[in-house]
Amino acid sequence: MFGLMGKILRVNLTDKNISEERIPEEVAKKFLGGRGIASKYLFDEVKSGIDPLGPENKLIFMSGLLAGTPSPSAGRYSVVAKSPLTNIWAQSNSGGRWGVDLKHSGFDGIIFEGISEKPVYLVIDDGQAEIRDADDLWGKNVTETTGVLKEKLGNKFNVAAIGTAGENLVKYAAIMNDIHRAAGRCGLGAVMGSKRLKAIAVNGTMEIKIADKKTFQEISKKQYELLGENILGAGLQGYGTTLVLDIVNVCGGLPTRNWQTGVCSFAEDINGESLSEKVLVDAVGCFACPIKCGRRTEIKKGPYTGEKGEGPEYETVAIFGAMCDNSNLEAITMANYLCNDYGLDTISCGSTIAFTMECFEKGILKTEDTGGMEISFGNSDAIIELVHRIAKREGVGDLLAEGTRIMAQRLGQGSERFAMHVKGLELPAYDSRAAKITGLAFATANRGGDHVTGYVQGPTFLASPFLVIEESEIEDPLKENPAETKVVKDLEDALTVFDAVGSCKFMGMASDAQEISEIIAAVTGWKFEVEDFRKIGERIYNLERAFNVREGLTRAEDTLPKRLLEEPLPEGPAEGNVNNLGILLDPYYEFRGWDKTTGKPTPEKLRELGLENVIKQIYGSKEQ
Amino acid sequence: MYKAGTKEWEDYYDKLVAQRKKSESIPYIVLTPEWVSEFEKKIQGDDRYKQVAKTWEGSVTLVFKADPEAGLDKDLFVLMDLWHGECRSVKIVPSEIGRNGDYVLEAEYGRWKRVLKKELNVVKELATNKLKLVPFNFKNAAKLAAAAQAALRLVDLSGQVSNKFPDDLESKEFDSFKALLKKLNTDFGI
Repeated sequence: MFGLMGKILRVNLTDKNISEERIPEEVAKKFLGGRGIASKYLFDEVKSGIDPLGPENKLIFMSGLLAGTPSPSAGRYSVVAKSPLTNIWAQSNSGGRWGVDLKHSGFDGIIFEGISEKPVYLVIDDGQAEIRDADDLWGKNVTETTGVLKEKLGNKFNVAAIGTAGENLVKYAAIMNDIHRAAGRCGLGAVMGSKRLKAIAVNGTMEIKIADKKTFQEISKKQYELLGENILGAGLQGYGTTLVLDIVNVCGGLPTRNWQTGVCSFAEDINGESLSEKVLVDAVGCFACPIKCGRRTEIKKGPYTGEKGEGPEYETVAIFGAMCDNSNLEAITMANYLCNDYGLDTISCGSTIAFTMECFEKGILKTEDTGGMEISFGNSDAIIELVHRIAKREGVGDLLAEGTRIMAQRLGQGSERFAMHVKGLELPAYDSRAAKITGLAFATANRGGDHVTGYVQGPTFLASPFLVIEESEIEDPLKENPAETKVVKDLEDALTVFDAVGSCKFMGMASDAQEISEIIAAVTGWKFEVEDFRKIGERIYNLERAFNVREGLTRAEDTLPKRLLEEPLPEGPAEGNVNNLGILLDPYYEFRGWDKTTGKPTPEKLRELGLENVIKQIYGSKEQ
Repeated sequence: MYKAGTKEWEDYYDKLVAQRKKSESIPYIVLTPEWVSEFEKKIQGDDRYKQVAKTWEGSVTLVFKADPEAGLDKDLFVLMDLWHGECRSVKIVPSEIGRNGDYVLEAEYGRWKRVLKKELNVVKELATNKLKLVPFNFKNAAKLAAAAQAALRLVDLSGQVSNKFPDDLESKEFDSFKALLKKLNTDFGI
């Protein structure tokens, strides 16, 4: 097979059996790789209603179809499982170069099943896989784990690992690779911890074959040239993803004080320029990425002076900063380093802390509940202390480790109103009241409240349309326009393909579907056209939705926190706005071909997408 | 000819604008000194622009490439002096002044027209190098990327001034537009 290695590794952690399986070409053609193939296996092999932290859940790592080829910004891998945070389909995605090294080791992916009695790690070295004892690694964080494994195995091994947050089953624990890169969302680090799988070390020299090298090189060269003189690329290289902080703030959509307002008065203290001045060492990139939006940083003043690492990114700055009403960039950077080392998703972690701060402000949590801590907005010391406690599940950290949804259920007293999550997944830092269509994307994203499923923040907050779909303009972000719900649907489908091939979503702003289809065709040797690109994205997206439907998800869950639906923004350009989701949901379902009452993909839609086997699973035998 | 960059040049340019504002009817023709002056006023009076551009520093030159069908026998340079949400001035200037702008954005006349008419998205055009930063350098490109909302607002404001473009004019008006450009060239080196 071209592009893909054509093989996956199945690792049963209960009986320690390891086997190799070929990926049928038909499956590859229908689902491409990465998120697509992983979701196919998850749907087929994981029954509904299982405990995400139990032996029946499967943890599936899968590199993108293009990962390891020199195609620019396309070295990513996906991890898929049922989430312990949301209890539905979960996917998390990461860059760096671990996904590339996995492929060079001889496999496109790994399916972990069962639970090991004792801590273990997996080593794959040029096609040979082995489970090893990880007793000495258990209790260590990501940097140390990676260091120990590299010392044992050699520097050429690349490591994906969990920190102690994953071991302690923090519901939003991340899987970290290349030390600083996170498959952060949905708590898949906790799934890894539940299986007592500490790490996966990969190394290899196996060749990734390309069917039509000449065409591939021509298109890649064109893409590199485009990225070489591109203001978005330059912006991302210059400021990292924090480039967008000012832009979101001037739209009145930077969630501040746990979304009590969308205007942050101290944005200039934490924006991209400020980050460059205060902590930036240099820009770093993922495998074959000329953009280099990563930040190598060092704290140069205050109590954390001398601490080094990578990041923070926009979400982390916005959430540990504006959302927690904290203007201390050094503390934000330190919180980021800690999250990376413990293996925590910075979005969920920071959001949960911001939620806790509002609970404290409203008297729902008191010092007697917090071990004497004053968890007030702006208290940067409390933020740092809470990150430690969450990862260790110490004191009040044990409650925060469950995430915002569970916290609100336990605390009650009206806190559900400002628990800022969708389906249990904490929302990213874009206030949808300032760009209405983004609320629809949060409400319907398959993994819960998420921004990169259908990055409609691009054409709204950033005013930057995506070339990868035919029409992505949003005329007025403050108006709900039913016709524009198609943009969400089209972006979700297109960006699903990006996750399947391992591409960075920023490429969607610079490349069109024709160009990406040509690359896929050149790599695989398949006849692959724009129509295939669109259909495959829609197929994968519907399969994931079907997984959720099978778990009991209905239209009722496609909603937003009450704060967004009922509390108008109090100031700024979007003052007075709330999300009127009702206007957008029906037309979106219509574009999707989903039943408006139940939210299920219709049998007709599933047949159209070649997902006949799914119909019985979500409708029962009579609909066959 | 008045020497560009001198007080004399400025005074006579302002005088020309004042005269033409009296003699020309509204909406003004895009790329005339009176249109540019109204554009300047719009920016100066716009609170939204002040807000979205409050971190912006530096002059921006818009270069309209020569297009005889639009009456432009040579490139035309519109220089906007912008600083922290304030608009200090907007003027048509000679090339040697325009090229010294902090950010020089260049495109075919027809493309600028479509951008100003909002048929094309200015950020997308910048992102795809259709509106070209000349010379390209990463630092300036990064700053432009961060100013997306300011760029959009400027386009909005331009549209509020006028959408009457030179290549859409009747022949009499077109001739007088060409005569104006000739005078600008003779008197102001534009």
